[in-house]
Amino acid sequence: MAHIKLPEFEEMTPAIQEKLKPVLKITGNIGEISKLLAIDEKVYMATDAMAQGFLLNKTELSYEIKEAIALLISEENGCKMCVGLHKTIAKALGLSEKKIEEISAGVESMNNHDNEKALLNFCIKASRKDNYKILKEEIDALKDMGWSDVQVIEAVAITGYFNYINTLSNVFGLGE
Amino acid sequence: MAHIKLPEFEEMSSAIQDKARPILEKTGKLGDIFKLLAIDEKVYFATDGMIQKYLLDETTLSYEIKEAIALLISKENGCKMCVDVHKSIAKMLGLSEKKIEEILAGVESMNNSDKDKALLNFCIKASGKESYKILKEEIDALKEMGWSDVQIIEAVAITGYFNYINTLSNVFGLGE
Repeated sequence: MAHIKLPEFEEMTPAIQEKLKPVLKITGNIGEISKLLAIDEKVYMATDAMAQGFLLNKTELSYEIKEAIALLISEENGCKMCVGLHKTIAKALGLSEKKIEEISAGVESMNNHDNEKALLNFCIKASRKDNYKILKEEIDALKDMGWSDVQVIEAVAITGYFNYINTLSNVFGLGE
Repeated sequence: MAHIKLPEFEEMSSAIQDKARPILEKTGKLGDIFKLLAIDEKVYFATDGMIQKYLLDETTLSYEIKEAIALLISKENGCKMCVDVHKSIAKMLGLSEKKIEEILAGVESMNNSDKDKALLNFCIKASGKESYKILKEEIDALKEMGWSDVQIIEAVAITGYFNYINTLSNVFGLGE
């Protein structure tokens, strides 16, 4: 159970209710993370903008890579709730059950190109507390493999987003 | 030097130039983190939304508490660039030089109430990789001291924001 009282739909602000109405209609329920964020409207809206802009919109990276980052970093940060939720989101964005299982087994188990595995391993390193040790050579290596500056920044921003959202979910004991 | 080529004003998108112009007119230069985020417009705007809503707007926490979180978590995450930027931002938001020094010497050096110190120590713990071990009792203790649910969520969201922005700054070697 969450470490804090989570609001139900009726207790949320009208602006948040507007955002969640379609979710409620399609899935019949609202996830714990949405309820947690809904306690503070500015936190809800700022987080929603990031999730939309980075993960749900079509961007420079494929949905497969973005959801692989989501699953791998959430696992790395011990966020069970986020891993569970992103298995569902990854499926909704077109990833197969098989691919999701591969990702969950770790980068080396994935049947992907070496350049994709290199980017994902880089993101795992970037998520860690000693990320200040990362060298220019490591970023240059990704670029030599064909990744652009914008793709590398997007990948690190998504990694950072999970360092943010995993913090919120873990601290309030969601999904336990 | 940054691990990636940072754009100058002339190379930024016109929407970002509109945001940069007042800063450039006021201070004569743009910070490295601004330039890094400007490489990807969606990353720039999502991040700017969080900075504005969490740190610069008046919210349920004081500027002193919010900038203390900024400085303490950035220090914890080894982000020298973010510590320096927030020394300037804290001053701009009304914190004295003395208070900023106190914060940087650590929570126990701060001449603040026990209630303030408890929230800041909680944020440091929340920023760590073992945040999933935090117990409901620790959040209840903050509430008994007089912190509201919204204030606690805001404090953890700001902590999470620094886990995000410190990741970006550290990975690309800003301020080195």
